[in-house]
Amino acid sequence: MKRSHPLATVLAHVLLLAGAFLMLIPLLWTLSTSLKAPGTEFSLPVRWIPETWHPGNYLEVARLVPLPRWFFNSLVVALAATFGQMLTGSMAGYAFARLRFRGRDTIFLLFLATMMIPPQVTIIPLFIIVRAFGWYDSYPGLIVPGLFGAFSVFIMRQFFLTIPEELEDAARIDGANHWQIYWRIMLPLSGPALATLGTFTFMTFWNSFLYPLVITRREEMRTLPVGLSVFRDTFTTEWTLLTAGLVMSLIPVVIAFLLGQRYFVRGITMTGLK
Amino acid sequence: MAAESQVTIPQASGKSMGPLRRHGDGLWALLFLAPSLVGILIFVVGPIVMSVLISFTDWRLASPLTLQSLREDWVGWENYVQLLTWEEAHWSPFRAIAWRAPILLVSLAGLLWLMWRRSLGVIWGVGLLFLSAVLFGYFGGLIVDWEDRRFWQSMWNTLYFVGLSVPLTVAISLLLASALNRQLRGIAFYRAAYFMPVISGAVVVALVWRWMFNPSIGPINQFLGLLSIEGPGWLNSREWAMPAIIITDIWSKIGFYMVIFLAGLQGIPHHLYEAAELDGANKWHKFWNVTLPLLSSTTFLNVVLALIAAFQVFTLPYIMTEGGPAGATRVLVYYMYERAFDTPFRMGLGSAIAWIVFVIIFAITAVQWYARRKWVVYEE
Repeated sequence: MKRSHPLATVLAHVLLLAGAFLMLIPLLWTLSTSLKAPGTEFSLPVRWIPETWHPGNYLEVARLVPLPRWFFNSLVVALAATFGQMLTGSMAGYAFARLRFRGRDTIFLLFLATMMIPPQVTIIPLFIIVRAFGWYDSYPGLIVPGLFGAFSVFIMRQFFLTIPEELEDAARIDGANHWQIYWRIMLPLSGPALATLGTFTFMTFWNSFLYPLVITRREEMRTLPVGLSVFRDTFTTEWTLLTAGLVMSLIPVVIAFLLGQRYFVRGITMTGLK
Repeated sequence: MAAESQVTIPQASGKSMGPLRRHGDGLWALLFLAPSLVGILIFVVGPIVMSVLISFTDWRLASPLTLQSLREDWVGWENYVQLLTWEEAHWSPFRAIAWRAPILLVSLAGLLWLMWRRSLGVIWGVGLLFLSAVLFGYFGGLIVDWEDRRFWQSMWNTLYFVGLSVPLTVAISLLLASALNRQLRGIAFYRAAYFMPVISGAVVVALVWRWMFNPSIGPINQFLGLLSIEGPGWLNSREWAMPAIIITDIWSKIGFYMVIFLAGLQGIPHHLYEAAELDGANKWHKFWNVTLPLLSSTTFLNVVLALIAAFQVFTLPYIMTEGGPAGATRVLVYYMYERAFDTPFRMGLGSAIAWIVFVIIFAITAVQWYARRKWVVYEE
């Protein structure tokens, strides 16, 4: 952090405020429209505060589309991926960081190489495989492929390498096996790394779009982003309903973000390790 | 003493096998690796191999996928040839280039001459070449009727998107991060504000901006109307649809890159600025000679991440325009989706498109990696 000239500080504030204004205005406009009575949202001159409050839009949207269900689906998918990857990633990470076995470096390189392939390449065969398992349009189809990832293995391996081996020696002398060392010593030490990996995974899967789009068909199996994308066709002219739906979908995410801002930011900074 | 070193050496050098642990941990490794290994083999490596195979077939989802059907539908390189050689269009590149070719050649020669005279650094030269390719692609895309040349149309559209969105996103987020990197009140507020679009997700962003850009009732054109400017048709117009998507993309991404820049900026040791001040450096000098070089590894990372993300853009055009109007926003991944997941479900052609996207991303990342040595400064 640099200490700076008062004038520079004022300039920085002006720039940042203007930017923040531009960032928030579409969202505030969305909020304002969602509270207007249907039909009054286009009246000129533009009104930022609705003339008459009309929270009924929210009830109407909730009646028309299964928003809670989509929300539940997204939550299940994102949470399963988060905890799944925290477990599988840290297990494999432990193997690569601490165990000696033949082919270790080859397998690790193979894992790393898969990170370079963009998801668009695998989406078509993934769709075929999941369909062959009979998981098309079902929870296993949405969840299972998300439980593993080379990125989480990589992150956890890098983190375990920074833990001094001396910490495990005492346990090893007491006769602890690898699972006990992993579960009782390494995992409790990995709180920050796991939290960061977790928020990052959660964010990725919460916003994931292309995969749930192709793997689901029924309305009740959609995740929130896929369900919301249908808004485009359902509410072509009812802007008040559309915006009410958007606001409802945003509220929990915004709350989660404000609570865990620290980890979000760290998770993003951690992509630097990629 | 001797006994001590026997114990400590194997622990310090983690990779060599020490006398205490002569045997490998094969079984334990199997236990720890099994979940990831099985999962990644089935859901990542398997699909990658299948995707290569499918891209050499004309398999269309109608028949179950077996080795038999793969062999029956095998077409060799035909998908790639069809996509890359304009054959899809039965159309000669020379006719469309026509009068633009001499202009392109002259500017190319000029650039090369400048680089040869060393009036222009390699990076700038490559950047300008890239820019002219983008502009050429853009105007090519507008002037030529692309109706049945969708692959090259989507290629140019993607280049146009990447060429504008990546530099602007990186530049704006760097500017914001520099403004934010000082002792200011309300940093948490600013960071949250800029980050809001990132956590909202692309679908919400796309829907909000689809409405912002509505030509008759959207807030943007209403605002322009207040300034007595008649706003364009935005998403309904071939010229303005892509700029609208680019604006939306920048808006939704700068918070993300700003946070990475901020972390990089905070890693620059303060004493370097003090040293520069002692040498009489002004603000601009300090930014140019201290901040930028020391931030270059962060910038490198951001450029690579932004390029990869931009080449894979899908959600915004899918929701805002469905690739329209007249294919003006059909980008590569959208085209892949269209080919593979719309009738007649040409999975082979779709896979070929995906691999072409991969090769482009890979090549650009490799070039960046090489160029990195030229412009990334490492603090010793």
